[in-house]
Amino acid sequence: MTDERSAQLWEAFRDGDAHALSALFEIYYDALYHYGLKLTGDEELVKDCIQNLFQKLWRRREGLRAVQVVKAYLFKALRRHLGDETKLLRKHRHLLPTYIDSFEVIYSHEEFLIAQQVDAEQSAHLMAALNRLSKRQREALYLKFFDGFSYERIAEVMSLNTQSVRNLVFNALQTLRKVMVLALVLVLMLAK
Amino acid sequence: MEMNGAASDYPPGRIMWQCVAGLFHHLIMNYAAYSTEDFLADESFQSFVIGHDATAGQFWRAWIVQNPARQPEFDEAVALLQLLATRQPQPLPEALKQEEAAKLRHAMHPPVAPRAQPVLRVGRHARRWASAVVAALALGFAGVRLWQHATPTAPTWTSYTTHTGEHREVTLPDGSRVTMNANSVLKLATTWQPGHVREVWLAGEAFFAVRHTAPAHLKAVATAPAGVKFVVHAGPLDVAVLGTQFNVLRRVGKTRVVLNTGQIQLRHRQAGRLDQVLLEPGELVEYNETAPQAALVKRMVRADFYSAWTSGQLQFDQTPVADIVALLKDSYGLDVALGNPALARQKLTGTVPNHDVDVLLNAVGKSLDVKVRRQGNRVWLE
Repeated sequence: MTDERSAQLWEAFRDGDAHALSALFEIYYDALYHYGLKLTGDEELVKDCIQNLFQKLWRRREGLRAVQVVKAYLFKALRRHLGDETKLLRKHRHLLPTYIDSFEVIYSHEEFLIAQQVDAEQSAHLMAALNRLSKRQREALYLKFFDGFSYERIAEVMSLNTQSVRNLVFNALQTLRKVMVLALVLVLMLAK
Repeated sequence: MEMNGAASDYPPGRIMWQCVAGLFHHLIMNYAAYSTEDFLADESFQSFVIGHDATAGQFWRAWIVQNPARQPEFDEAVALLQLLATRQPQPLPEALKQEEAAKLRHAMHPPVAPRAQPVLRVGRHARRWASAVVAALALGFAGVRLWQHATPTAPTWTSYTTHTGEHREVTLPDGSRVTMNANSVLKLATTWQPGHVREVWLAGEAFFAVRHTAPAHLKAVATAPAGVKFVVHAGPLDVAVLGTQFNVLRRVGKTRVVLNTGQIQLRHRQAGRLDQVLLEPGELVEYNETAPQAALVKRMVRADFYSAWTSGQLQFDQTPVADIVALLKDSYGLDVALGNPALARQKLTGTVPNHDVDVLLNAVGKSLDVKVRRQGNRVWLE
């Protein structure tokens, strides 16, 4: 899906074409769902928030502007929705004793190609290193490596400036580099 | 706050270098001095390793050949970024997405508001009695409204199923008729709101004779409002019509639509595109899962052949053999080879049962005075 084609669908949707919004819903549902689930770990909450987000877009279509990268716009909007909902849930936390106060990305080894190739210890080492990164570093890495967003779009999604995102990603990679010296040697050997 | 937080875990000198690197991103000479850190921070380099961007891949593969001195830094950066290469996540269950998509569609096309209630005109004597009736009606309406309100996004569903060898005639809430072929499932909301798009979901095969509910002057489906349309969802295809007759086949791996009369607006929903074509009578469109990116292509066929299963008989009327060969391929999966290419132009007339393909083949062979040889899915007429 190219950004231009999505932007065209977005324009058609703003003109009142319900099929265009349905198409965007189908195109980005998986990515939004996985991102939301990464942030909150709560499937029902994520489903409801995505549904509410699109219904709200439809109701307010006349007040919306053109966007360059629809995917980034939707990610940002979902992130805000999830934030609002999570705040509400937190307020009533006594009602939800099992609710984990997270809103953060937790990585697991199933998600990485390389973790399948190195031994369990190395893989655990990598996951521990990833999950020791700051919340924002983990989220920026997720948006970069799982969704292929540019620094500029990550900045849009996370409401940061581009330089901050550049720093977040760079520092995260530097930290991993220090921690993963041994795994790196293995990877280099595998690559040869 | 965010700026400070980000800057604090960052040596000041590097920030400067980062900015400079950003400015000169596309100057090759700058890459020649790249350290491992520089490679790591470079978005184009990241894309190359992670594989989001083919152009970046070409560039960097060519670059390292030109700059062998940077090989160690290059390799280290590649290895580190490879650690972060992700697997494609499992796609979500189709049922979950379908349900959520249906909820959204429902919210976008809410049922039309009930019409203003008719005014009752009654004489003086009847007034007291009438007011009781009005009160009862009002209560009744309130009850209905409350009930509707309680279940706005959870319609109840009706489904019809046929088993092997079974055909079934179904009349839909709008009076449209559906003939279901064997091993098929048709699903729809139990009640249809007037003025709301009529939707059904099909797996298997069915022939639809759809009632035209739009005002008579509305004939073009492409420009008609959603509320008067009838839509068959078949796999990735949406078949939208006003009032027509057509056949839809949805089996594993393929979806086929053939139009007998009227007009069809056919949309392909998946693969991140909105592909749509308008079908005229006699046109066929087939979608194959082996080529999900291929655009929808129409071709002319004898439409009645494709709905012949509803009557059990194929009628040939000066029908070119080439059309029959196409039918044998489309409906029975047979590849027919003609010993003499001129056979394709011969024409046949007559009626044959279509439930037994061997009977059909023999009849064709006899009429053409050729030998029929069949081996699995291959047939020779010579």
